[in-house]
Amino acid sequence: MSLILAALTAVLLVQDRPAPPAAEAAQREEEKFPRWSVHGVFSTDFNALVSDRHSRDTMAEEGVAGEYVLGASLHLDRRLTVSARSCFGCHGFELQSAVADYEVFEGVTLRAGRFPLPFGSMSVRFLPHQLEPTSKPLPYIMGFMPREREFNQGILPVPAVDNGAGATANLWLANGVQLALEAAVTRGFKGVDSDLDFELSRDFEDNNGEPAGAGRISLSAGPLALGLSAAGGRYDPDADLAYRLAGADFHLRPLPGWNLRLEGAWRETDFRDPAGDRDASRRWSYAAQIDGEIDPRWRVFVLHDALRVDGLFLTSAGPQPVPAPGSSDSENVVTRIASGVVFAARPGVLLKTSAEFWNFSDFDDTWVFHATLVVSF
Amino acid sequence: MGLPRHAGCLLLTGVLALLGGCLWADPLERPFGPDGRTIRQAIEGFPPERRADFELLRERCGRCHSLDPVFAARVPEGGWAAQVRAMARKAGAGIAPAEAARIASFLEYFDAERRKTAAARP
Repeated sequence: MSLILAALTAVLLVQDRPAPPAAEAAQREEEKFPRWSVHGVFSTDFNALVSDRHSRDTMAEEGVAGEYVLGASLHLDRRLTVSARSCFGCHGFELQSAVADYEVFEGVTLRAGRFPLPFGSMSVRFLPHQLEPTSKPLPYIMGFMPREREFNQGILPVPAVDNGAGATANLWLANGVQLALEAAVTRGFKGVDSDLDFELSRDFEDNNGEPAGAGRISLSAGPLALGLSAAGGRYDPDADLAYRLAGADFHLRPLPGWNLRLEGAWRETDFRDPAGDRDASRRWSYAAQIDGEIDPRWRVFVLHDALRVDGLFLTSAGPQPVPAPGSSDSENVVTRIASGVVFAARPGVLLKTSAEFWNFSDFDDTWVFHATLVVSF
Repeated sequence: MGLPRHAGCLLLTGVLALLGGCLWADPLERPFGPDGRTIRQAIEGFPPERRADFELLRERCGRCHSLDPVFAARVPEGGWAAQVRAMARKAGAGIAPAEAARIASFLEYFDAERRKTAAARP
């Protein structure tokens, strides 16, 4: 974290600011403020889950699930934007983000409020119309997961919104080569023991008065982008149990409209064993996706991802430090293969269909089929 | 952890679709307006500097999203500059300030041409 902050300071000091070229200068003259923009993404998913009837586990979102997002941005002047976004979905009505962004000078922006944690490539790309699959990759899955209660989701469900302040610096190293640094100090995730509680973490108040941090560094050059992320904090009311996250991501666009995305993430979470001694569970996850345009209206994708949870026993009440009747052992793996097509009926209207095969080390295999209508404006 | 047969079939189907798609990819054939032209045909008729700006848009914006939300958006006249600048501020967006201005300028021009075409409908 201190390395990122030091780099950010260096960027503030060395950033070169040439005179604006003609198009930019003309826009400066013409622009009028304040200016509003409104956006919305309405997604309704119809799904079916197929597995052995004697060990069938339902998904929380099985059958029909909706995610309805409405947001607005107020551009007060060239440098200051205030934006808010609400979401009505699986958790009811929620304020997904409410943040003020102030561009201190070209390329350097400060932000404060409630915003997605700068961790992983999906911190800026998580809305249904931005993703080909209906469910997110396992490192960042939020819902639409068989055995979700047992696994307690993946590494970090996105959007992982939190309250705090942060800074972003976009530095141009050479023509077309950009280094981006992000850092944020936030309230942190919450939990009681054994693992993070993402339900509890959505509440606005803090539970331990201990700040948490997250940072991300990414490099993009032409069709290639690389990123490294880290985050950490303490999650229990006594500020005694810590969590540590790290991640790496790679994105290549081999052809216009085609993407290869590789991403890996890791989390270590402290917990107390029954004797009261400190122990730690570890999670690893990766995702690989190829997606592309086969026609102006059709996109296809193949996604393969996996999640491993070590050190905790998975039960229907969530991960536990001790085995219970019907629980898994302390080494758990799930892999998934998903494939599907996205049809753009018209600009702003998508129909996404996919089939997913889930292979669990300690539970029965499961198929999930999705048909999702997404309308965005 | 071995790959079951039906999952292998699914993977194979997806890979074949991807390979087929590589040979078949073709962008932007949606309607531009009531005159029957596609977006691609309309852009091909734009002045060369506007076409260059479109290529820049395609390259830079395509990093995070498809062109679908760009052409679906209804942005009031003069509003693209603030919109594109807000996106260029995002970490790793890879859009330089001068490029953001060119992209916004293209989108204002594109919307103006679209409005002209709609107004000229018989």
